Amino acid sequence: MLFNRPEFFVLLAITWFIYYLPKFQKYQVNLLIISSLVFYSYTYPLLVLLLLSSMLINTYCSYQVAKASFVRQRLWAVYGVTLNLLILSFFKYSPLLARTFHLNGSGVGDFLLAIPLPIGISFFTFQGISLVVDVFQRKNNHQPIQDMIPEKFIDHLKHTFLFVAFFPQLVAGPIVKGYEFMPQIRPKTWVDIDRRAVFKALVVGYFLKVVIADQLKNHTYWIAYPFFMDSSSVDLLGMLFGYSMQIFADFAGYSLIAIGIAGLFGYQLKDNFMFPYIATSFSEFWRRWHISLSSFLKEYLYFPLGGNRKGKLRTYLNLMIVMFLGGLWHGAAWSYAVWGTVHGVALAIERLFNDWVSLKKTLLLRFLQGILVFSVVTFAWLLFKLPNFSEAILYVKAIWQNTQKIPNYHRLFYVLVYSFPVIVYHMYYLFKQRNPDNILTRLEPYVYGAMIFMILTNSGTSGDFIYFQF
Amino acid sequence: MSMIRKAILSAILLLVLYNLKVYYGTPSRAWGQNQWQNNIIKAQNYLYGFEVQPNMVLGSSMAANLEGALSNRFTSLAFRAGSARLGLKLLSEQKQPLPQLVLIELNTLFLSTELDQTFANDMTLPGIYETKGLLPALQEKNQPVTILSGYVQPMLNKLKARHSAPKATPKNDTKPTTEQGKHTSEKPGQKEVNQDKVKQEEVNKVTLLKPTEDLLRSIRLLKEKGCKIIFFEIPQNTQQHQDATRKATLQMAYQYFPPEAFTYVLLPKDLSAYQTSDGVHLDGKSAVAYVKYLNGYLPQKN
Repeated sequence: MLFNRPEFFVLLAITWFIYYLPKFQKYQVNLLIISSLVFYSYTYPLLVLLLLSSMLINTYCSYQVAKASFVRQRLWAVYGVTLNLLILSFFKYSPLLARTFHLNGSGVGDFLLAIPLPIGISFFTFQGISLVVDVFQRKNNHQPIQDMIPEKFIDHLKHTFLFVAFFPQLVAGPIVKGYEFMPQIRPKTWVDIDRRAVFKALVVGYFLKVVIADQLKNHTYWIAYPFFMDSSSVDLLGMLFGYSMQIFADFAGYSLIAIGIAGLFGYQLKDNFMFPYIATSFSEFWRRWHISLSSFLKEYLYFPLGGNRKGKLRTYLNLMIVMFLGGLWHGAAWSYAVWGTVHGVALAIERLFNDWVSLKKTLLLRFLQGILVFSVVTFAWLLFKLPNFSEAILYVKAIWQNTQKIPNYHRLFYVLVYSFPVIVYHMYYLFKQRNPDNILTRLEPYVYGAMIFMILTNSGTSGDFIYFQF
Repeated sequence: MSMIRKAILSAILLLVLYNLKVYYGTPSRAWGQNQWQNNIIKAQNYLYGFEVQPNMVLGSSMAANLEGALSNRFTSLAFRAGSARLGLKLLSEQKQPLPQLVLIELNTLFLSTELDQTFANDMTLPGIYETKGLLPALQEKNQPVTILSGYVQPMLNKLKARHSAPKATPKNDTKPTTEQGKHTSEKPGQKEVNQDKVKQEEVNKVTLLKPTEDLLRSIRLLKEKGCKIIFFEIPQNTQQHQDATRKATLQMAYQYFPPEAFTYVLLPKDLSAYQTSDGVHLDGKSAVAYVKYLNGYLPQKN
């Protein structure tokens, strides 16, 4: 079920109406679990069995970590993490295995290739891992765990089901950590809704998704083989720029909608995007883009690998490993791993450069750095749009070769028109940081009004969220 | 007044003003921002009764290409990246009086692709359909950016004309494809990349979908209600005329819609008289020539 489909609004309205009825207050968690299962099983009902299995595994393992003796708790934590990774690997990476080793045609190969990719699996398995690891770490550090693990198993079961399946963030994040979400589970009332924040998140989220991303997708569609071969260099660059704006609007829009909807039920999810295209370094970009994934990888992979505490060479290597795996997390194709590695290399070079050279941070330098980061990031998105390497290479070649072709000015016009709000969104943030009490803040309500107007009158044809495929 | 209230009130005010502008202002141009939006506009124009003629043409982008050459007594529900099935589905909603004559384009997509059910359902979604009918500002052809682009269009056209060197009309009917939806043909020089796709396509060639109950029902219903139905084929490149899917499609069409009961206008004998601009779609002159050929098979009063 998509956030921009009528059936979703029906489910949301019914759930929200019942949720705050005083008589139903003690059933709030149950209600959210049921709605989440309806949400998840709407298109492919059978997939709910996998989700239920994952939830049961994580409930049991985290409960055992909390209750078992010191020696056994580590064992249960290892079981939990391993089972989650096995589920993820089996469903997500089996086809990649078959393709890499050319197993198609053989019985095993065909079986591996036929395994379906359950929607949201990368997100809910990571949340499962987070729960097990968080409980283990807290227990190991002698911190209280009562706010994460209730005394009764049945209560823990319900809480874990809600944590893993909570429908606003079930299929595309933001990835929520156990220690952030579990303590929030308690009866909610109207006063728990931060109306202003929820309103802002929903309006900006839907604006970015349906007005910007859904419109841009119809113009960046032509970044597909063989269509792009006849486009001019200017078109190819313009479309790539548009795709960069689209992927931001799509995912940041989705995240904001998720945050807004969670807020309607009294739950606070952390920001997933913080104006990433103003970043002047790659490390800053990753502190601003898909923050929940970056922080997950940092806490549960980079730090356990040793982070930057084991010498420079090891730091660079750790960065590469984390980004390589982060890339593969996005999709079961080697192009995603290359995409991650490109970012890993950029991060390592940047660190190396900063260790050796110290430049005075002038405005011009920061601007040029920003352009460099944006350009590399944008070119790397090509591997998202064209996961087939040879096609991505052809695209770059075409940029180089098609300089004499006539640009499609109409398409470029639309790309610029729909990219403009994303640019303003970033620029206004920079402006607001320097002038917090500027006169434009008084106009904010009318800007939100204009965004609602555009959502109603200028939405694009409804499309899936790009990150759903991951 | 709270921030939320101010925002909602200003949105309502904008919507009311814009609706008045659309209602009383000059009609917007007839095309949208991209081919998908054009499809929606076309469907809405028919469903809301803006463009209802006694005859109708249903098909894909190939049939859509004939629109300029067809007489203005035709409503077109020919969709780019779609097929005649989508038009039939909309026609079966019966929001408007039934046409007297329905031309159904037969091509390889007719029975080899699934109906875009989401598109078809969204057009007539209860509540949304009625609201869009009442508030023209919510219809796709009246999107603010579409209206804005109408003002910029002449400037963009000038810019394009300035950069366009005079070019010879393509004669070769195997010219590489550009924006042609699903009618993709192979391009010279990229064989390695395309090999897998071609293999896959060959496998798929003979796999046709059995016409669904919906499709059969809607065509039979049209016939029962007195609509004359004509199936027609449009010339494209020679290679595609030899295509196994085309032959299989024709065979299946004959099986379910026998030639004794339905009229078929098959390809003209002299195919060399028809040129395509991209291997699939007829160029302007050929479209006019083909419509002339097609008219020969239509009842005279049409």
